[in-house]
Amino acid sequence: MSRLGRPSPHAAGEETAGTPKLDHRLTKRLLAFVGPYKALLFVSILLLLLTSLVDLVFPLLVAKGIDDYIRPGDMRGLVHISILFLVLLGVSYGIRYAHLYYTQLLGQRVMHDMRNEIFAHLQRLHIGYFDRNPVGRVMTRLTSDVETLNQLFTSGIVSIFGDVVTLIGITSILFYLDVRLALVTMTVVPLLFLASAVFRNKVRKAFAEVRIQVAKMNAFLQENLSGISLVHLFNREERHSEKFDENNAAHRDAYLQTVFLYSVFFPVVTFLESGASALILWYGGGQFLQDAITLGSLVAFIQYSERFFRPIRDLSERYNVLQGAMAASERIFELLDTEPAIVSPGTPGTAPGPSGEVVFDEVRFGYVPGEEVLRGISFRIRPGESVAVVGHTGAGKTTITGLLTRFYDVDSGAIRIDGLDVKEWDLDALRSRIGIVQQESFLFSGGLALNVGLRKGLPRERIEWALETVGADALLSRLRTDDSVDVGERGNLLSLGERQLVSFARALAHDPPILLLDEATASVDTETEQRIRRALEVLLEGRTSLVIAHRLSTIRHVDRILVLHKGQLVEEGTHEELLARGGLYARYYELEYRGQEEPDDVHAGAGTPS
Amino acid sequence: MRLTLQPFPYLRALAPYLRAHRGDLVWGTVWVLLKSAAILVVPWILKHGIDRLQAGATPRELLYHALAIVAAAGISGVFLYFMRWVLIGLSRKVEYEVRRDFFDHLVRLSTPFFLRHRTGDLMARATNDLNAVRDVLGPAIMYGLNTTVTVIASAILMVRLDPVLALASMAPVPVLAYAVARFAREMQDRSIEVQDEYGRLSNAAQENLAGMRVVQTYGQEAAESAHFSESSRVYLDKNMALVQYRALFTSTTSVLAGVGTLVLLWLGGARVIEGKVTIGELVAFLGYLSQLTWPFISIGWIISVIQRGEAAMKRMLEVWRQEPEIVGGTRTLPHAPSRALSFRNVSFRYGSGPWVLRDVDLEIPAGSTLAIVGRTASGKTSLVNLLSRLQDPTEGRIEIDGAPIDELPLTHLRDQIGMVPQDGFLFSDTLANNLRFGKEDATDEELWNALELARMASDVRDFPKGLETRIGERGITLSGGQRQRMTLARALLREPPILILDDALSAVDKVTEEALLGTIRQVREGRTLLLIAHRISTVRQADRIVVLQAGRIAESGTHDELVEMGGIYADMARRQALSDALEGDTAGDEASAGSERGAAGNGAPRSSTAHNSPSGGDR
Repeated sequence: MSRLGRPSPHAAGEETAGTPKLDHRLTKRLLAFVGPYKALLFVSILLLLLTSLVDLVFPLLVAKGIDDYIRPGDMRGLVHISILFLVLLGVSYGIRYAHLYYTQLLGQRVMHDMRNEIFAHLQRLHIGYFDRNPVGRVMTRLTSDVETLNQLFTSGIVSIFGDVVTLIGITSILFYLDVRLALVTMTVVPLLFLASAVFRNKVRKAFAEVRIQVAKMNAFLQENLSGISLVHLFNREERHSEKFDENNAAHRDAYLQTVFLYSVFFPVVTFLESGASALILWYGGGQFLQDAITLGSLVAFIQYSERFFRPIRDLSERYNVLQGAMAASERIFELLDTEPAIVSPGTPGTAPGPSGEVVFDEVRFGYVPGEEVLRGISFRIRPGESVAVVGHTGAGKTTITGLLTRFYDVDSGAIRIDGLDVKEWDLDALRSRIGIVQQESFLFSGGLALNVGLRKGLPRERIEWALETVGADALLSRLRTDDSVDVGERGNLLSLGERQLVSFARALAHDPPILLLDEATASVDTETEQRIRRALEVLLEGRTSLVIAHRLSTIRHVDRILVLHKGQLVEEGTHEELLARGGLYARYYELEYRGQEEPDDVHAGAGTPS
Repeated sequence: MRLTLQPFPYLRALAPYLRAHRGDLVWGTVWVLLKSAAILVVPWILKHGIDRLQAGATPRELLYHALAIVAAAGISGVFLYFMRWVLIGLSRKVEYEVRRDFFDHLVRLSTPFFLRHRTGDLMARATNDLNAVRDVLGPAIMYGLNTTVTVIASAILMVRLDPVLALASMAPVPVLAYAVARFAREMQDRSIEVQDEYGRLSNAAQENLAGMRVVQTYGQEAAESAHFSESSRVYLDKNMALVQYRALFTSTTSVLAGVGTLVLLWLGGARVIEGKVTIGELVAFLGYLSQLTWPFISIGWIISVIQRGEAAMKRMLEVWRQEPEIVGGTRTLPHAPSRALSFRNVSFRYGSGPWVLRDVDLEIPAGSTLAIVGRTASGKTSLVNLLSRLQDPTEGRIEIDGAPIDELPLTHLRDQIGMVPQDGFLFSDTLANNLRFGKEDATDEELWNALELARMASDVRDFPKGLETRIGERGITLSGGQRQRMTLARALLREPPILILDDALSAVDKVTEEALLGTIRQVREGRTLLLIAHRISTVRQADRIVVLQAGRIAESGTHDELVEMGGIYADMARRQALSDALEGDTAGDEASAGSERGAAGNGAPRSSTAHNSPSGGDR
């Protein structure tokens, strides 16, 4: 049956469009996933062998029935052999069911493991990977590629065993029944293999073309739907319909080529099959007339020859499925082969310095080579001190938090926490010392307890305490009454301000010695803002903290202010000191102070987010 | 099944397509009949041959029988070829037509529709869902016809050979019918559960990936993996629950053929002994039975394909039955180099959401320049979207040279407007084709002219293939600034009576921007210009500046008047002056460095496709 048009992933533009070969390296790696289920694999193959063997016996029974009982007119013998047939049929039923079940179980287990491994691997990958690879594409690896791979197990590896066994079994039986007739029957086999080889070769090329056309069409659709308003604005509807028509027609023609190939291949196989029957009747019939073969054997030959061709045909059909699965596994392994660029050192060091100390030492960094965002930054934050970083959009403020948590590694210079270079810290230990509240609070869909406590299993009291402490009263009472209520995807059922409070509570509940606060740029109403400010004070108390400030109004209570300008530290001091100096900060302050009732307008619009 | 009352409630929408191909359908049916007839002759020849054998046939007679089989198979092979080619080919042709019409329809739907539907979802309908529908048209129709014909023909032939044996060996059929009915429903329910679980699993993964920073900061990696593993386990269990039934179904159908053989052996054997049936006839029965095996097995498959096709067609029809919400009229304006515009009490909001624009009253004389400023989400982009009727106002109306814009044909209205949107969206095509987007028949000279005006000509000359450079081709990526200049050239090429720059120069540096504005003013002397901008330097020379605040016009006047007034605009101007001073001498330098990175996002480059988002900004 036609499984040609398998659902193709949407972002097909980036998919491998070529023709993967069934290569050993891939097969080996795939088998590694089967390793833990050797027993299951063994059972599946065993059951399959049994099914194939039992199936082979039935024509033999019919042959025996005809020769030994029906022709001589032995009714008792006929009943006995029929009962044997029935028993074997029952056995075959059971074995077949078990085989199907265990093969699927094997495939499902392997997929389950593979999904988990990919997922766990993704957790370890550095943030830079996610900057480069859109979530949608990564998702495809985890979902549809793994599903495609399943076909390798359900209709690939295991079934091929079955096919081979059936072929060998039938051949043996045919030779056992009558060597010469077997040889005559087999004369069509080379023809069949030839036909299959030609077909496979052509169909592979045809499907390579299909994949290219599918990718093109998807890319076209994707682009046009994203840019639909431009199509409208420039009155391009008709023109684009025409262009799509070209794509669409090429897509159809590519598929028609495969339809043609299959349309030719199937009749050829059927014809060869009948050719075998004809040979059996002609040659075998002659033998029968000379009493060299029994009538039952002749009938058995006809039945076996039908069964003989099925696996060969199946192998050809399965070929395309296998190719798709191979392409998917190639993509999956490519992902699994991506080494996390940022990992814990082999032997993590121990922190010698005071707890909560942060030091930047001549730090240079750029996301893209040759475009430095930080150009030699040095500063030290004492334990318990709170420091704010201010600066113009694009000055590199947010970058500082990414480096501290080792989402990115510095190009040169060093960052030390508690006296130990972040590169020498165990990653988990490092990050558990740092709490970070990002510009955009990210919430998971689910209840509040989940969002504050995450999946660490923090005690309920702690979660409640955290929400209470940041002053999220409404949320707290919601948590207490019914926490089964979902906060929505990314928390979109909560207001912006509420989301902020939740992420504050989250940081507070995890009680990190060092807190990084990337102040939100989005505006909230005055009441929420006041609430957030109060929560902030609680949060900062007694902690080493680094506040990335996008508004000066919120940072007057910090101990010290760093002024960043174009990737360099240009001023440093308390609010008063900096005002007195009359430098950059003083001018920022003037801007901010006068524009307070309309905060952040010009900057948000004119520049890029920092 | 459930479909009895009204068969194929959704798939029936395909009737017109099938009707157009009724020739293929008729021929396909003919081929199925012929092919089945030819192939069913084979067991009959076998029967005859074997009976003759027992009567002591001559070798020559045997050879004739063998040749007859080859001939029958050859003929049936030819018919089989035609059957597949016509019927499966038909499904590909109809798929093509349906997709063509679907796209034609889609591309004519209005912007509000695209705000409600995600691109991924629409893509899925045009591809995955259509594939499911196509499976109904091709394989399901073909195998359906084949099964019907084979079952009926075999039944007739078998009854003619021996009614008793025929009935007995067909005994599995009712069992099969029961199994299909019983299992199909159960399997459908379970497979829906599997699909739902798949959706949940995908969402879990999607959320985790999107929140990776939180996950890693809070050291949640292991906990997340454990959680995912649980979902993954549930998915596995649901799959196995389905497999239980599917395996039962498959093994039942395949064992039923064996039951038929058993009946033939036992009962048939007995009848041969009784002399009521010949051995040749018994062999023929075995032959017919083996030809029925596959049609039986395919029944369950056909049913599931139809069920899937119904669901898919339903999803496609949801889009298909959607009418364009914004349609044009018939009135055309006399040709004019420039146009006057007026907004009369225009208000706009999405559905019953908050007001995006409220009571906007605006007169824009032909040939004048109007600048619109205001903070993010103040309604600037909505204002120009209303003008080109990407959206329609909720209240009030807009006129162009005195004619309400909804009285003009959409294409005519949009021909009046050259729009330069803020996102710099270009299609992955050659630069030349991108420029010709707005003017199909433009000569190369015109293209270079437009590029020259947009200060993009020297950039294009630097590309290895010049105008024929394909965007998105290996190694060729345009910076944010270059994209914006390309889109500007694209709009200028049309020489539209109204030019709209929607924050369209944000990624080019200040010096270039001022030069560009100067050029535009010069070449578009006497034509209407709408300018949305953030920089005071961009807007100060406009004939009139309008300040939008929360969807209302808060201030309106010339630069000098507004500065005098000392309101929002004056405050903006003062702050920008200070800000500029802070930037110091190197201001231009930084802005341009920023712009080249701009497309990918400055601080943390999130997604390379960010600049391709269709509707960033003011919504």
